[in-house]
Amino acid sequence: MGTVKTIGKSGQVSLGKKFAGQQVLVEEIESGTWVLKVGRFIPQNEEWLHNPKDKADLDRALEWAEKHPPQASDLDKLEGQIDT
Amino acid sequence: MPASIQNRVQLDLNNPVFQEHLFRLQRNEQVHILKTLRKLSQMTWAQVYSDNGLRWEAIVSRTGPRGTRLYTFRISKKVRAVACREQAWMRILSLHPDHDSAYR
Repeated sequence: MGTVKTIGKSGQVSLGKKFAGQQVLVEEIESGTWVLKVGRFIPQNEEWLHNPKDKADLDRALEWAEKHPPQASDLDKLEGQIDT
Repeated sequence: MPASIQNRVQLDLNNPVFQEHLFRLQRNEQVHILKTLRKLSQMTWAQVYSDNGLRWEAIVSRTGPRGTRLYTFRISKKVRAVACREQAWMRILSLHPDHDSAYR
């Protein structure tokens, strides 16, 4: 069953908060009729971020970052670790 | 107080994934990266955004914790870093080979 919505002053229609932040493909199949598909756009130069290995590494990094606040780093100490 | 782009970058290099990636690299690559990190630690955020060598850019296809924006930049000729910004902090998360075909 469809829902009647009013188009806003700027031409916007609300789909509800649960879709907030998501990307959606809007296809006008004929004048005044649209098909909307929720999906994800990945720019060509970001495809590598979604390789299983790169994605898993970044997921781990983000999980750690979420649990640990930022702290200053000692570049001299890091350099010392590289030299050994 | 919101961080200004005139604020100096504060580096957070403590992420174990970043360190794991760094220590896995060849030594000469590590040296290049250290040089970039030293350069970053002396820059303001305005300088980071406008530096042609770093090629700092926002990632569109995924976000960090709580929907925060993620960024990628060139940390050496062969390696890109993924980072997020929290106030004046640049938190480097991970390192990845620079895919030349994507970043011409």
